[in-house]
Amino acid sequence: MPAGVEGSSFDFQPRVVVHVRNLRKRFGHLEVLRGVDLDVTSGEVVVIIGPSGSGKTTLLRCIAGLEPRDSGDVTVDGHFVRHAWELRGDVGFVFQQFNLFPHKTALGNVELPLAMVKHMPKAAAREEARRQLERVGLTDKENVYPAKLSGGQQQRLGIARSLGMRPKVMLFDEPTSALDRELVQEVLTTMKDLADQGMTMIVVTHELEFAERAGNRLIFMDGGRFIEQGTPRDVLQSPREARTRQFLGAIGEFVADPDAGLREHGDPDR
Amino acid sequence: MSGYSFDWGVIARNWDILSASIAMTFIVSLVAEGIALFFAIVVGIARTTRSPLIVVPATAFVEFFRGVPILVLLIWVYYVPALAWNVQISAFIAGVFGLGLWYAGGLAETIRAGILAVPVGQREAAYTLGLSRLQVLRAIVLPQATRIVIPPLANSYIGMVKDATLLSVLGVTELMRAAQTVVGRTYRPFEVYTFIAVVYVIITVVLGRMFSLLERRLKTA
Repeated sequence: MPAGVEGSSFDFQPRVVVHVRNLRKRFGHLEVLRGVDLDVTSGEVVVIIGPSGSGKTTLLRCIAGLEPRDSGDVTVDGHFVRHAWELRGDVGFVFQQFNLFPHKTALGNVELPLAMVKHMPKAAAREEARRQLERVGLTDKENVYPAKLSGGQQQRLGIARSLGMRPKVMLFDEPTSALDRELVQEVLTTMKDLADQGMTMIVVTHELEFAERAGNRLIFMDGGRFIEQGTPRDVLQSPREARTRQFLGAIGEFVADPDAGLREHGDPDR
Repeated sequence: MSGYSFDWGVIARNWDILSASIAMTFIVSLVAEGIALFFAIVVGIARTTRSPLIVVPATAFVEFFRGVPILVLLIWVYYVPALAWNVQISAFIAGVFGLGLWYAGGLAETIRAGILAVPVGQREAAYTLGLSRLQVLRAIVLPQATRIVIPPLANSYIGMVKDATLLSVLGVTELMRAAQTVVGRTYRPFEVYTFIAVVYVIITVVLGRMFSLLERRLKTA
């Protein structure tokens, strides 16, 4: 699947950044991932939707090396993924619960891995951290501790902290689910900016509008498998699979073309 | 007690030995607390690792020192090296190590609990940023665990001050031992023991207030 994003126009042949082959994972008796294949090319923005328990989060965690897998291959930028720390920040991970370091200021949160992992001198790390804070609009908050930031600001700080490591890909695990409704937009805007800048992204979210605006590809996941995928427009407006329609119906609204929706629902098994 | 005439002057007349022994009580408790902290931090961290080679001895340490009565441990540490290996250690050394190790067993559990109280998401975030396990422990987990365990650690020190009285059985001239000496000389047990009881209450109340102040500071920081 070609990327087709302005930011990656110099990649004449789209480079595969994330490569997942036949990934399986079980927790006890529960098979959470039942053979997942995924290739994400440079600059591509892949949005994954699906009901809770469908394996979306586990998939992200396996790609980041946070979760050991039972079988299958995961490589990022050609490197075989084993443990998260071995990736040295190449896979940025944005958590639903932010997971900022509470004993460090906003600037300190971004600086810490630059100093400890990239071994940047103090001045250079500070400069880079400021640049990342500016990128997410938190320049005036650099000396503020996370507890004193709003949820939206905290999540933007989480994004800046990952960006400092110059990741090859950014993974977002329901980045706006813990936020009050009015704080969601600022985080989505930051993410859309990133996408426009050519960042390779995999986003697990329920924000369908974001998926349509920012995503190159939308994947519907259920029961540990990819049920269907395609351009966000196609999947959202004319889903082929009954389970996709069911899910989109359950989470509500998104009926850009009500007639199409009616037609689909009238003939679920086609 | 009819006909007993109090003589509180006995305190003043023996002030030299009593005041020196108060200082000794603090020295004993501080040194023992230092020893306790050292072993508690090492053992507490060891208990949170996954390698059985590290966890099993650490758990044995905790269970042994929490299981043995403190008085038995003190006497054991004092006499056994002398009898078994012909190494005579001073009562002070035996006392602070006995006290320190006994406290380390309990404090190791406090420190383990503090480490486990740091949310797992903190570690995960640090790993995705490329920090190694050791870096995560040093820069992320321990600083946060420290804030959690400082109040219980501070309070354990109050217990340490009181338990320093047990070193009197080894002949270390801390407050209790000094009191016994003065009583032996003056036959004034009522005045002398009342005095040291009051001294202990004052010390522990003052320390308690100081630590709760510290606790409030930590919360707002």
